[in-house]
Amino acid sequence: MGATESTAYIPVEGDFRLLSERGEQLTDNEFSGETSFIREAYAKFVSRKSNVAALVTLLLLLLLAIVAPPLSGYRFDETAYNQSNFAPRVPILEKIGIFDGSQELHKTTTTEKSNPYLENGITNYHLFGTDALGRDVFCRCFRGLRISLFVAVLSTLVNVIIGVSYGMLSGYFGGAVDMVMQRIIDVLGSIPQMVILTLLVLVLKPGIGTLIIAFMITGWISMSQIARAEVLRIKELEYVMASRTLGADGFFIVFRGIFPNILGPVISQIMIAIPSAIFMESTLSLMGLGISSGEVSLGILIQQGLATFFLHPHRLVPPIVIMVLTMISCNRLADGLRQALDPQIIL
Amino acid sequence: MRKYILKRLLISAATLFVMLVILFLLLELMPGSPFNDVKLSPEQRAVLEAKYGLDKPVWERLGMYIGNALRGDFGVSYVLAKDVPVSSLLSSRVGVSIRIGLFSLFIGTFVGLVIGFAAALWQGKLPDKIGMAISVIGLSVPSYVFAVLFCYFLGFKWKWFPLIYDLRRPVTSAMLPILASGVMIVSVIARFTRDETLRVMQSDYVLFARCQGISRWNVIINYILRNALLPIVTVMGSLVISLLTGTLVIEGMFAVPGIGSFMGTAISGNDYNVILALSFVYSVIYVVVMLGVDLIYGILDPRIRIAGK
Repeated sequence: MGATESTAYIPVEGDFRLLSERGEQLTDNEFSGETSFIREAYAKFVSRKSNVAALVTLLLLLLLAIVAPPLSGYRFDETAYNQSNFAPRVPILEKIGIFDGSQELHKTTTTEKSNPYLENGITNYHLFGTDALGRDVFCRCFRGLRISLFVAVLSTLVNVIIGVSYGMLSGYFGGAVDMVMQRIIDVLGSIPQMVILTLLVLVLKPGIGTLIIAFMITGWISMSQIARAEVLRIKELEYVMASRTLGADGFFIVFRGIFPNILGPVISQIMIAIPSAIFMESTLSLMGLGISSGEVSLGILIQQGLATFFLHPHRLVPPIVIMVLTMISCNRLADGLRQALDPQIIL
Repeated sequence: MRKYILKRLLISAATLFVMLVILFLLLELMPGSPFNDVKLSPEQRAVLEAKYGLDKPVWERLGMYIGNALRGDFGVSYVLAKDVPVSSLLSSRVGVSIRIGLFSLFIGTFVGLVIGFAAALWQGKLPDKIGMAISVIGLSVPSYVFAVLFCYFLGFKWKWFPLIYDLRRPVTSAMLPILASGVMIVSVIARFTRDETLRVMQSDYVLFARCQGISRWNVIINYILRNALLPIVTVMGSLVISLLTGTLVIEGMFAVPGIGSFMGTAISGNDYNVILALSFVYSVIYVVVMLGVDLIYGILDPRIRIAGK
């Protein structure tokens, strides 16, 4: 290679023609202004590895929440009394001596080591072990994640609709309308969310529907405050004035002109609201106000795991890890999306 | 300034009024009456209802309820301690909860400030990375998870602190609940302090001060610290609300005789009067804290102080 490179370069005929004559692209994509908003946001998003990691984690959890319960080979409410309180047993890993189903029972004087799988001649694998009724914790965890996510996502979406409409109308019309609407927010926002949730669940009888309704009633306030702040900023811009000059009415400007431009902050607020709803659900469960109709959620699993934590930690660790992973990746994603969707932050 | 204070006071009063109306409506909606005994004849029941004013119209009863609530009278407990006034059940517990809450607020704020400043001063270096890792974890992990961890390691394995709250040792046995709820405060304060300090550090007046030849640490202490500290007051409101939510579970786990664990007991015992009274206490704490934060901030921040004049 070195020999050929050192020889002097002999120009060919093509070198003296213009680029356009050779059919090559002249525009420089870097500076041509052709990058769309979406492409720019994408570039900003992937420029931080933690954003991508959070997204992958969240998608993985979502996938598991959908496919894990049917693929686990168990039903979340299937009891097996001969398999209660089993420790985790994982194929392959059991060969190297961890997660082989053996567990240590701490008694007052001694510590007993035993393997209930071998002693009872059970060939099943329980990846996360079983609970007191012999139900498979792996299946229950992802079923719980599915329910928790369902409650959180559905109530958050309704909150977005209520909160964003409220905030945008309040911010756009201003004056007396804004004054009245903001005083209502001031008063409602000063009541602790947990108190309202507790009272609502108490009156409406615990259940999935109740939880969703309770989150709907309490969650839209912060959403509306963000929407209002954004509208106040945007409504003074020239394009809104132009739209008004052309004769567009208030509702058209608010929902068609302004709404697309506040999507960024709203999306990152959604990513904050979802983990907070999951957290609230678990707190309610720990207070004894969770969904009680035989269904599972992460909160219910944590509540059940806490009761026997010192004896069987394998029952508490998986739901907590799943919840913490969900919350961390949602929060990380909220941060990443906020930066990616903000046109003022330049890569 | 006076207008601002007046407005804040009015909002707080309105909030408490709305809260009382909600509580009253809940009481009305609850099934059953206080006199469910089958042995009572309709006449006897009517006499009893007249005695307690339950035959009056809704508005009069609402006024009565609010009047009683403002005097601290929330009726008697029906289940947990039969016929004992709710106020006397609560009075001893509120103190315990507030003491633990204030401790974790102060300790957490102090540690958070130190971490936040260190992270901002050494931006992008090791202190920053460690500090922000702590704050991401602390913000995403519910405080009861820390309670479980501290319970297992500090209480169960290493036996540093008692696992169950012991009235004879109020200091050491309060440590685990304080630590568990303090992690969240540390991370919120650290994150906020870091962002705020960085914002101040990039401002023109700090650059100007440095250009004048004022030494780095002089600028940090007299220019940056003072201006970065002020907005931290504003997060106190949301911190207190998270703290209150956290204690609902944490107090139960460590058997702290405070209002959080009492709420759990009242819920599982279906003691409505206690639940409603506790809800009101929680709202009052939150409203008072928010009012305090806004007033303090209004006094400290010249922009609000002068604009409101």
